[in-house]
Amino acid sequence: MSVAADLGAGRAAAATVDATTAGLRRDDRRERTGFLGLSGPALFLLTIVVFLPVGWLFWLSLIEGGELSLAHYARIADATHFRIFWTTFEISVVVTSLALLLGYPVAYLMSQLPTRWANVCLIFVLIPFWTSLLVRTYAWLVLLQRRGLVNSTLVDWGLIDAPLRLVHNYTGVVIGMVHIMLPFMVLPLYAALRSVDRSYMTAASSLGASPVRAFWTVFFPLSLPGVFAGSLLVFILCLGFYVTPALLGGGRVMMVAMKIQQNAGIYFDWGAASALGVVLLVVTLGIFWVIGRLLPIERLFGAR
Amino acid sequence: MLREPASETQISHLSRLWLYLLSALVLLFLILPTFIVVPMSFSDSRFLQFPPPGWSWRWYESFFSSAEWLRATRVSFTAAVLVMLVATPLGVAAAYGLHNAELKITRALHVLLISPLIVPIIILAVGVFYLYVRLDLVNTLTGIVLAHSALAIPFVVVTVSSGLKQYDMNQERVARSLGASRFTAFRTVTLPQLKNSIYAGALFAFITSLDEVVIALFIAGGERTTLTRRMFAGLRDEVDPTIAAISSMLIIFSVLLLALLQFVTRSKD
Amino acid sequence: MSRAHAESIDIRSLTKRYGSFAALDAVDLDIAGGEFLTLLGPSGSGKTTLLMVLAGFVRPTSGAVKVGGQDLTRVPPHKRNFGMVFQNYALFPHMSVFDNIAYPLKLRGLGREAIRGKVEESLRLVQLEHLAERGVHQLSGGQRQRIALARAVVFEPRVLLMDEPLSALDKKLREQMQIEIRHLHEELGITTVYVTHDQREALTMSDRIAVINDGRVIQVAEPAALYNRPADAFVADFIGESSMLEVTANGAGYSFQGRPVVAVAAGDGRAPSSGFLVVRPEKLELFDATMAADHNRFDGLIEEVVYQGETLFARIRLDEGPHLTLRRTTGREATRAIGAAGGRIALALHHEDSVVVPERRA
Repeated sequence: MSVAADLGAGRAAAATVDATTAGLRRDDRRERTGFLGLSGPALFLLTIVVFLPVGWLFWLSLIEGGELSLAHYARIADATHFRIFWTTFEISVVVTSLALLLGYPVAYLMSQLPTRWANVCLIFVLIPFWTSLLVRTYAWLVLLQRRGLVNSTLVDWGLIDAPLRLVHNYTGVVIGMVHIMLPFMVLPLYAALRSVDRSYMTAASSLGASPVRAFWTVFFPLSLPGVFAGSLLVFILCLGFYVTPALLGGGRVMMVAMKIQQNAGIYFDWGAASALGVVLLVVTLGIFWVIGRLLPIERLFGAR
Repeated sequence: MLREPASETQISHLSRLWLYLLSALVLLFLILPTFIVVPMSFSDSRFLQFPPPGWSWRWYESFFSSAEWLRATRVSFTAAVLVMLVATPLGVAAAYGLHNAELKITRALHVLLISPLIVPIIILAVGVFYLYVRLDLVNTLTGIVLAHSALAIPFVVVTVSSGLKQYDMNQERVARSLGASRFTAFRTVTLPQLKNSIYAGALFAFITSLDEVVIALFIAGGERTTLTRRMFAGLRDEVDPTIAAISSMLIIFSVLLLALLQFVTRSKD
Repeated sequence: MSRAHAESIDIRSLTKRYGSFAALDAVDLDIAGGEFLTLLGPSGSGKTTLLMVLAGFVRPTSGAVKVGGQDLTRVPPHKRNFGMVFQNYALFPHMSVFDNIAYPLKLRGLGREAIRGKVEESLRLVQLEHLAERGVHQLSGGQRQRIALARAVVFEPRVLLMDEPLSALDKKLREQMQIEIRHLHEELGITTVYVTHDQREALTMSDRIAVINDGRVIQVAEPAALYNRPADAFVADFIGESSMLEVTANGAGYSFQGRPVVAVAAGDGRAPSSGFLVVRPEKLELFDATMAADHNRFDGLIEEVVYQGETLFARIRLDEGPHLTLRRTTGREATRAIGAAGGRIALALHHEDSVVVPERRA
């Protein structure tokens, strides 16, 4: 009799233990879902405004006359579009290169200056960065025109006889875009260069390297992650850029983003617009993915 | 002085003179356009000459007496404030939630939250336009606020996430051990210490909405034309010199905002 | 501050798994009300995990935690009424010292006057009344430590948990704080669970010590018992210095490479069939004929003699091969008696001081 009671009590105790263990697991799950749930509202908004529309565009690019087809893609595989892709790519490469060539020295100098002076330079970089894109583009419109400041100065100094055609063309677009992109190049570069340990250069010097040699063999390689980060950022931004080419190109420079806008906003040709958009998106994501394999770019964006 | 060493490698200032000159030129290049606009806005002439032939307030008068410009300004600022109020809590909650969840899926979710920064904005704009046409949200304030908030959330998430990384979560645990529920601990201990990141994020959200052009071109027209859209049209068609005045005011406004941010966050870096 | 009602802690079969890794493996521990118990172990042993489970910040996979008879296993941390002191103090930087200490009282709805009274009392307890209005960043490490303590006890918790609170302090301050924490414990009588990896700290402060390794409790005993009668080789090695000689059972006693050794059982009362003889350096004596009956004898060559200020230590290579370490407080007699390196020496270890321990307690 007592054995059965003992067994019963034992089983009841075991059941309580199991209940607690199960309860603990439940508590754990509830806590995790709670935390993930906090990101719910933000993700919901993004789903409606970003994921859904982009997905839809993907879908649209594959539908022609009510059925699945690659007709839209076929249409954009012609000479005109090829030129647009080429122009976009070319300008992006040119602008990125110029931004790097001009931005690296500035970032380097800033990283070597005492904080006080570096912050002064930083202000010179931040003010345009915080100024509206339109305002800056407008400023270039003013500066580069026939009787604008640049031409007037060049003529006054006797460097040229007739004003140069600096705006409403390829040149204007490049100049404008370099100006917009420079802060995007300088800021990550500056952060990366600042974190290079100075004692490496001291070591190189003590080992017999001349300043120039020390720079190229020690400092520059260490700065490469920053160079990649900045260049990647700028290149990607250039690929999809719309405002500056539209305003400074005078209609002579057609980049992908402008063509997309034309198709969607003016012709309501969703098929062509979405096909182009998909191509641009795939190229952008592709570049991110490739570089992402080589470097931890998520840290650029603050992920853990 | 020029022959003195300038760095760890003992290179002299003289040998680096080209670096100083080049940098000075680049910095000048960067700042010049911003500042050219201000004197331009006081120009007397309709044509974009520099230096201006005469000085006057006319373009400012033109702005303040134009019902369309004023309405566009109102729309832009209202939208920007609303975007700041929507994106900031959503972004803070998301950043906090992901920071504490510690699951494998959080990385993927983090990438999703930042995706608007990665996707070229023209694609977002066309997609949103297409969606809004179907939902009848084109040219509505709601539409603008929703679209801009989606664009602003990544900024808030990034700034708050980086603030959280430097924050010692143990303090929340201590608060809880002392008797505070999770939410109370967050509210009384964590939130006050995240102030700087949150202000920075909120400011980014505000500016992102105010300066946004491409999406506005598609969905912010008619009664709800934003300042940026109007300016864009003005720049493309016939350059209205009023834009010089508006630009000048915008520059001063953004410089003030930047200074405000520095001031408010001066206790920490 | 009134002596708190001392509550006992009852840990039953506590397990915490991360995937297939068991940070805690069926831990059973009974802590008496008002006791100062230290969880001692190396990094990764699970001692901090155990403390966190007690606090409620880590949820166990299975098992139970009862305090004063009440099952707290699934109760969230803010409802447990435990005081906690962390390694980095975790004082709230955006509040003054006063507000830090007042925080738990405000949460419990006390009135302003009551709060003021209790905070002042708490500050008096740690002798820092004059710092009430300071900001946290103005305090030194030792001061922060005491404020963290004051905050943890001001609301008269039923249990006090401390996670290596002194490891960030320098040696002198640490030793001072050990005594202060001990005094605080005596005055308040709160059941305290203290985590550390420093065995000297554990020996100084605790009523009992629980040695933990690989997620299991190896031995729970008073400091002297732990030191003199370790339960296995791990405990013997972790606490204090010792030399270990391999021995095998031989009838009623043990054999060290053929020589008979008389020993007492290990800390858990068992007599293993093979294991190690634990030789504490300070328990070795110089052999003379009168010791033959109740001492174990070891002969060997002195390899080196090192002077270390207040102690002398000598390394001896026994004739059988292994080494022993001898430690003596310096004095004229000691130095002379031991001799110099190269000389022969005969050592004696009392039977009561000879403990044979298994390699690892199962």
